Amino acid sequence: MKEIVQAVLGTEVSSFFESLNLLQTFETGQLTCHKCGDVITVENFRAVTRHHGGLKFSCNKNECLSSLAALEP
Amino acid sequence: MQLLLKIGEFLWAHGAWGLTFVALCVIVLLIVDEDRAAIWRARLYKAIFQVTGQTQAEKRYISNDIKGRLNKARRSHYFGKALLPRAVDIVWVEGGAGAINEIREGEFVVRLDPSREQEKNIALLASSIVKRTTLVGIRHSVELSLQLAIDLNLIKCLLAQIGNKSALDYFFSHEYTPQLGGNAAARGWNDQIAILDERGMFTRILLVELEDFAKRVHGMPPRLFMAGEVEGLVTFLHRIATKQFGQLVPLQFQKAYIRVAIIIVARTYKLIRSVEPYVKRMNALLNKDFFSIYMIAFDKEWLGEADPQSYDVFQQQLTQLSTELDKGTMAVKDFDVEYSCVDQGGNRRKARCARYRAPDAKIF
Repeated sequence: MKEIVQAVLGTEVSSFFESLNLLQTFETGQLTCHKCGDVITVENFRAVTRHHGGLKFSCNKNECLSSLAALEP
Repeated sequence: MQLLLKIGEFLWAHGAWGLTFVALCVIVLLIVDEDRAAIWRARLYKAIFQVTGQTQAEKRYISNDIKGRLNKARRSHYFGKALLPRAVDIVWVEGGAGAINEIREGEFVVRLDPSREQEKNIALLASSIVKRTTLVGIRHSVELSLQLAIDLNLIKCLLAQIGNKSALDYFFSHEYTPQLGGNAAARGWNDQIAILDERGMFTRILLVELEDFAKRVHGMPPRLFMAGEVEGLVTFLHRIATKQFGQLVPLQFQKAYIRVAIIIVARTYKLIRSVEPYVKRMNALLNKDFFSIYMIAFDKEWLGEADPQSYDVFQQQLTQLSTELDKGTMAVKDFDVEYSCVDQGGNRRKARCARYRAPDAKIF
């Protein structure tokens, strides 16, 4: 069984948030990193997953991405 | 180069039919080897992107290059049954006006950078895949600093296999060194895991045992002793990996959920005389309720220089031992691999590692 990873190109981050209907929330700085609490921006957005129903975002710090990737269902 | 010359001679001799035959062989090879095919597709899309500048071609280059390289690397360095970390497939999320996307439970979306930063993309995906698909179900039973050391060494193994030195450099400078830098406990575990990796015991023994452990404790709430078993196993293997010649170290690790025994073929005179003591040892261990028994042998290259005849006898006896363990005992062989490793003197040596289990041991 393969692990499917979805990817967004760095230049298309804004349109990705638009397709999630989260563009306004994103642009007003209401989305934060699940671990360090930094505001998610076009520059520092690295990953997102749904965990226990809620969306969890990661900024581009290694420890934040590692922590998001290791979340168990 | 010799292969290319032979293909050239073949084409020269058989003309158009030869060309058709070679083309068919290449197509069959690409169909059979999915990962190699992905790497070739990546090269094609890279060329298209460089000529046309199309974003779609760039995306296809990025995703095919990453999945081809990572999946090919992962196949060659893991010996358990579930082949951890799992193979990866990358699907691009298309955004833009009118597009609607939804992220379902457990789905993971990662931002990848443009192709000029491909080494960063490869290192990032390798890291994410290792975190998402290894130690699954036992992360709560493994201390955080030990988890980090296992993850970092597994990512290092994967990246070392893929043949992109820039990705490995990026990983060392941006992940490996910074994450270990401020964490003394993780550095301690990392030193032990790195030595296991040098001796070839990380992916061939530790990860295989952790995979079985994960299946045995599946569904159980985390208990303190479980973490102790995992840490004890690392320390047990590290003592064997750093054992000096003639030094006695424990060769059996028997706990509730991890039970491993090791047979080291170390004494040349003992093996040359007879394989019988090793067969007896295996039979004795099979009655002691171990989940797995490993036979490890390191090549006596120095013996080849000092006494070529004895070296040949040693090699023959090693093959004989493997046959005797298969035929003369009830042990069931899981795998038997030859590999090269680094010894305590920093010399590269050939080694052999075989995993056996009792016939009535529960198979996971």
